[in-house]
This record gives sequence, structure tokens and C-alpha cells, in this order.
Amino acid sequence: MSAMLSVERLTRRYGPGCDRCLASTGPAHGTNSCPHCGTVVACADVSFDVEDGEVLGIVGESGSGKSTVAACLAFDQPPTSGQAFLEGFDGDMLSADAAARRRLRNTRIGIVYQTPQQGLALDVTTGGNVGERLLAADWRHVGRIRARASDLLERTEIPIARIDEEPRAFSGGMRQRVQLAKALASRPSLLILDEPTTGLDVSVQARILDLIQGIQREAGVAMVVISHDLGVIRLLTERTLVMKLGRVVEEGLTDQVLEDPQDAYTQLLVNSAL
Amino acid sequence: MPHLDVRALSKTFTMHLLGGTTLTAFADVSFTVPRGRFLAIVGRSGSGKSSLLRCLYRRYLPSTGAIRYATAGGTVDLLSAPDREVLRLRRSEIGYVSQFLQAIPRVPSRDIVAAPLLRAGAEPAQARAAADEMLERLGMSAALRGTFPATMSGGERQRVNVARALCAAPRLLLLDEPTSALDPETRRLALAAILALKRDGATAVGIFHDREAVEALADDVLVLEDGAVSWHGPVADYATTALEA
Repeated sequence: MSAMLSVERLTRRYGPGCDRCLASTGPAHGTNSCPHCGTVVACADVSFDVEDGEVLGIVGESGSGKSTVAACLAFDQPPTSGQAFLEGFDGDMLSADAAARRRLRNTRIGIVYQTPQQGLALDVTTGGNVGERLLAADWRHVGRIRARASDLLERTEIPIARIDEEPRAFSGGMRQRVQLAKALASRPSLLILDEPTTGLDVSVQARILDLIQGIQREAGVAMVVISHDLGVIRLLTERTLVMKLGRVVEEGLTDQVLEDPQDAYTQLLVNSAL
Repeated sequence: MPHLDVRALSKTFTMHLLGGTTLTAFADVSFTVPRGRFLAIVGRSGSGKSSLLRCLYRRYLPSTGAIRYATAGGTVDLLSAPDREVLRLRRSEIGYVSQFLQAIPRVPSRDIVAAPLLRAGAEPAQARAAADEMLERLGMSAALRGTFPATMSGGERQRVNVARALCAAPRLLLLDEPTSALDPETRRLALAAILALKRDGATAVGIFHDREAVEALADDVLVLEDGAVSWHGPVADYATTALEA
């Protein structure tokens, strides 16, 4: 099977940058800030691929660069260098022109952010939030948009009676479910979940994880799950990358990474779990 | 050609949090298992049995050696095979029963058992019927089959664990004390279900503490002592050896 998404040497720096940035940062140097020019190397040389039906986990502590990877793949931030290929799209999607990127983002890529206000317009109705994605994906028939939005909200367990309410009035867990409905609206080939359950009560977390597993069982989507919660990673993924200070320090089968971690940082991470 | 050919396999853990201290679980272990034969691994706690079994499943990354596994499409070294190849084999032909059930919470036991079949492409109704049948063979009541393992006793959970692995009819079965949490009656049911799989041609490597299970299932026995093979031979000879010892 060919990869749905293939990421090659993705690198993102914040700052002026110099030719010593990459050689002076990372786990071996204990910093992601270049001592020569002060540039922060958020992620460097990150490569992986995800097949249709596969769920890849990315774990690491805050500041490890995992959300930067997500942001680059959702076109929220331009990478400094590196490429990404999405099945069916000709060439490197990260260097595509703005119109092509917008089109991909609207039709093929869905993302759920840790903070709902990043993914939702909190003062627009729930139906409007989901419908906006459908409009962007060239849906034109108002009745069909509303029907599809209702389907999605039903699937993500948002009471249909509340379709005209603003997510502002919703709890954290409900907002995450609206984000999921919105991310799924255009039937994306790539679904990125960036800390989808962080900060939620366990029972709320459980419903969202069940929902994500339901999506996973339906074919046609490759998922990248970013989390610092090893329980979430164990539950949802079969392969995992471990990131520290912007670099991938370990990758492998999820059960192997969690039960027989090779890297010092992964051992610390696994042994820190309650 | 043997189904499984393990050569000079070693596993050493490097514990970075303890200043890089190393701990060797087992070293230089070699054995072969012909297709359709059962190998029992016996030995005291801490002799490296579970680590060895986990290495065969690639849950642990072996340090050195080779694990040559014969598939329909040729021989694969499970030590160096790409992650996706290992996942594919786990889905299609290698089953593993851990000492304790690890399963998705909030899923009824019937669906946990059916999951591997569904992933292999079975019809949902058929998969659930097969799961029901296997759980029934292991003596689980119809009422319990619809409940979550979290509400079950240890022995009931272990039945779900065994049923899940057997239901998918793996060609290689890795068993880590599958029957130790079961009462005598259920143990007999589980051994019978494992034997049925053997009659269908499955190969197995299993860790067992009780002699009854070793004698009922195994063709050969391998004894591990402090991470090294101290004895390896047919089960009939093992019985004599053990009596002499």
C-alpha cells in the first residue's frame, strides 16, 4: 500500500537562522535554541509516512516540536525546509501555491486543535462552523449542507436541537466534538489530532476517544495523533514517533516503544507515567 | 524448513535512568519449531521466559540474533522486519496471549474477541458469532459476553484474552501463561481450545507453569535458567528428566 502522507525532513525554525542552527541544537545539546544566532529550532529533519487506515502517534513533552509538525501539515505555518506528499496531489504540498494549499486544507486535510478557539469560530453557530467547511469545499446547496452538518453533529453526539447555538455556550468536551465534526466535514484523507483530549475530564475524554476509534474503523483516512498522554497513544495508535527538542529520538511499534523504550528520553517518559 | 528458527537470540536492557546499567534477560538462545509443533518454555520466575516470548512478538526489541519466521510469501527475520511487516503478520498470522488482558476499555468482551476478525475483513455478524462461540467454548455465559472486561474477575478477563487470540486462528501462537489465572475446569476448556488449533496445524511457543498444560500441549520443552538454555528436548524425555531431578 502506498502512503497517504509522506513527510520528508520537515524543519521549522523561528528566528534569523544561521548555518550552525541544526548542528548546535537538539537532544545532544540539551536545547532547541541556537547558541550562535538565538533561533529556535522547533522541529528539524522530521520524516515519517502514514498509510490509509493507519494511525501514527507523535509523543513528546511540551516544546518537543510535535505541534509544530501538525501546524506545518495543516498549512498554519510555513516550514523552513522539508517536503510533504499527499496521495493524489502532484508534488510537494508544502511548496504548493496559496490557492492549491487552501484547496487541500479545505477538502483533504482535517485538524482538531487542543484549544477549540483555534479550530472554531466560537461566536458562529455550531451548524455554521461545520457548514463553513462544506462551503469551503464547494458545497453550494443550503439544504444539503444543513443535512450533512446534522449528520456529522449526530455522529459526534451533539444534540441536533443545539445546532443553532454558538460553541461559546458549550462545554470543553462538546467543543472538541464540534471540532471533530468540522474536521470530518469534507471527508479528509488526512486527519490530524493535536492533543484532542488534553484538559478534559476522564469521562469526557473517554467519549471523544471512542469517537475517534469509530472514525478509525472506517476506511479512507490516515490519522496523526499528537499527545503527551501515553494512554491515548497506546489506545489509538500502532506506530509511534517520540520527539524531544525538535528531533525524532525514537520510532517504532507503539507497544514496543512503550514497553521496551530504547532512548533515554523515552525511558524517562514511560517511567514518568502514573 | 522450520516454521520458526531462532538463532543466538539475546536481549539486554540498557537502563538510561540508572546511569546506563545493563541487564541481560537472556543470551544466545537458539531453537527451532517445526510447523504444527508446540514448544513449551519452562523455568523459574526471572529466567527470561516472558522477555523471550515478547521478543518473538517484537513487543521487545531483541539485541542480537535472528528470528526467522516462515510465511507463505517467504522467510522474514522478525528482529529486523519493518514495523509494518510485523503489524501485518500480527494481524494475519501471529497471535499473542499476554499474562493479563490488555484491551480497549468500554468495549463488550464479545467485540474485543471479534476485533481481530473484523480487522482481517470478516463480516461483522460472522465475526461476532465466531467470538460468541469461542467464548462459550471457554465457558463464558451469554450475559457476560456483552459486558466490559473492567467489571469482570481476573479469570473471566483471561478467558476474553485467550478467546481473542484463538478466535483469529493464528498460524503461530505465542502464549505467556495463558491458563494461570483460570480455575481447573476453565483451564481444561482453554487447553482443549488450544489443542483444537494445534490439530488445525498451528505452531505454538508457550510459557506454562503447570505440568498438566506442558504435558497436554507440548511436543518439545526448552528450559531456561538465568537467561540461558539449560535443557531442550522432547516432552517425553523432559518428564523423565524432571523425575530424576
